[in-house]
Amino acid sequence: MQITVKLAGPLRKEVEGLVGGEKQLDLPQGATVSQAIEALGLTGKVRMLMLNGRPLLQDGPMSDGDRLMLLPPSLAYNMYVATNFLAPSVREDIRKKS
Amino acid sequence: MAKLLRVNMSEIITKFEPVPEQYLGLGGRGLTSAIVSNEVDPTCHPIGPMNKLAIATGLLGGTNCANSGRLSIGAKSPLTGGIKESNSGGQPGIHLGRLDIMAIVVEGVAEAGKYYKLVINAQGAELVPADELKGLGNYDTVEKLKAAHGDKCSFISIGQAGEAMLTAASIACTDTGLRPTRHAGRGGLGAVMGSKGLKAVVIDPAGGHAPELADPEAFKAAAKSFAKFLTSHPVTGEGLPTYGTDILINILNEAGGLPTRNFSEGRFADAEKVGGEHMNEVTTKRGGVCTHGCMTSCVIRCSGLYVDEKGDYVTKWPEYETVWAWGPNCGVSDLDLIAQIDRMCDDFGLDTIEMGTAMAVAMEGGLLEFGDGPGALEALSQVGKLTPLGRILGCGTKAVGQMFGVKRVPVVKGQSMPAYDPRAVKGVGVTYATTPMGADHTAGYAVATNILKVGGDLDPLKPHGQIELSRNLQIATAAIDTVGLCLFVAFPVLDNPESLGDVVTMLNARFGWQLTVDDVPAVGQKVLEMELDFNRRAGFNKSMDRLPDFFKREPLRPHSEVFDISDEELDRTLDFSS
Repeated sequence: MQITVKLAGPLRKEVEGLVGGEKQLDLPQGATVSQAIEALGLTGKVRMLMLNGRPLLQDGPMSDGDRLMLLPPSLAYNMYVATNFLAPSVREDIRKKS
Repeated sequence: MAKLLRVNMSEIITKFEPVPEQYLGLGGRGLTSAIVSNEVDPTCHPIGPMNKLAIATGLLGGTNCANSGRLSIGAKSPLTGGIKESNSGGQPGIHLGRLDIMAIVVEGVAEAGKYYKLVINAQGAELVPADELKGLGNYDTVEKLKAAHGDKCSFISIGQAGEAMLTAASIACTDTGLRPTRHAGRGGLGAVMGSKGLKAVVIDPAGGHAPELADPEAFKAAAKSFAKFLTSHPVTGEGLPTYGTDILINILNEAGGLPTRNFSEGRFADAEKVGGEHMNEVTTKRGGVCTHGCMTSCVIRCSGLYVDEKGDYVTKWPEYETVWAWGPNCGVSDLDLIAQIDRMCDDFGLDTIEMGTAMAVAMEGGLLEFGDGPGALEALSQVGKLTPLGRILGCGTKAVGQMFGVKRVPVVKGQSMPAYDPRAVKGVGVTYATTPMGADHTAGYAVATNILKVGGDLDPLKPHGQIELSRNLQIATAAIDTVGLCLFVAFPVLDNPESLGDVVTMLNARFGWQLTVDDVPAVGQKVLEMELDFNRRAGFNKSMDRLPDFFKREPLRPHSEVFDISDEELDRTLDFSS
């Protein structure tokens, strides 16, 4: 399957072949969001993400044609946005801390 | 000993007095709101002689605490008819702090057509006729003030919009390079300053000093620790200094919350052309500056200097809300043109958010086609010439909606919404509806110490948790605004509660207090209660804590969401009795 990945700010320097911050990514059918992050070499570098413009409360499989935006910790600027779009792994860390 | 400076524009006199007892312990927004609440009749006309313009440094103003130089300006707002506090970066807050001035209260009105400048230095303060500044924009005003008073001063001024008492008029503060680029933008406070005949304030810090500290050693240690939190946090240490606030364009666009063509869609096809990544790229290529602090104590430096193709300065980096208001919200994707608009708004002294939103409403009303950037620039230029169209535009979104027969007018309490569509980011919609300021994102932009817990389960498209989030943010923001800190210090506080401890330690070491971190929310709540009380006495009621009905009726693409938080829930947001 193929998904579209959009990267924000400094993450654009980490991945080659972007056009307008975007890249088509081929993944095995049913690949999860965390597998997509791993395929891009961005594991541990994502604080917020949006799958089709929505928050992702738990990691899970994606579908062909999905759109995934990834944001690093340095771009969690707006508190409404930052708290709403936390990556599942970050949500889990926060739950453990609290 | 900190002083309060009273400036009577009717009698042309200035007088220093000790800070009255009822205002002790307050600074910044807390102090301006206390002054307005105590001294201004809530039913007075905002540009009449009974309104007062309060200008206050934060509690840590003038100290060596990083990012503590915000300047709060308050009055009864000509735009909303309620209480208003709008704060600005730049140098004046630091300079006033170094002259031991906690607040300036401008009272009365000068003789019609007469303008004065208030000159403040270590020797005192006086009102000086300023006929030579009449009719000038902020850039020319500052040039003349620089020639007269030197380049070591800082300046607060109004442009043509403030002189004409237009309700979208801002008050400009000079930055570290003496550019009038930092504004107390919201709520039409420039009109209040203009109504008083006060064209400018000159602050000469020579002979001043850092405020006295009750415990200098404790202050120094906490200030050092706090600055380290700011410089080492990814948002304040890397993101903001590299990309400025405009990086939010692509983020909100992805979330489907970037209001486009007067809030009719949540995504803009050309967002990438006006986003922060592009602004950084263009600025770097042209030899501009990507990391620039608006005040000397700033260690974040989220601003930049935008230059044209020849490398010549145009304006400071336009903020996200400015780029959004005049870009996606007007269907415009030309960043160079938006930079020219930003410069023009700064020069005339206008709130870029209010004006861009007004332009989008005018476009919906048929003045121009969406996407007509050059037409928008030309129409904006008419504000400086004070043509009839210019005056209408300069009175903001609500007035433009009335003049052009538009029913989709994105305002709350008469003030335009900023750059987050409340149907896609519902928490900010709660803040727009309920803050005493009128639609304002900064009223709940910051963070409470318990937000991490709240944040773990939130979905921006669902009502759950948004009321609590907005309430906590509004309380925390009121507290931060009272201390005089830049709101962006909130980011380290999110991840490191110890950094809030440093702020409390600095307050204690400055004033000899015994505050704890647990006392901070009470400060914010007290400020909000004063503001809500003023608005009630001005005639505000719950029916004004609502979003315009089209947000409840028109689903927003791409998520097809409406604003579905109930009126009962909204009423609960700032009900501190429950």
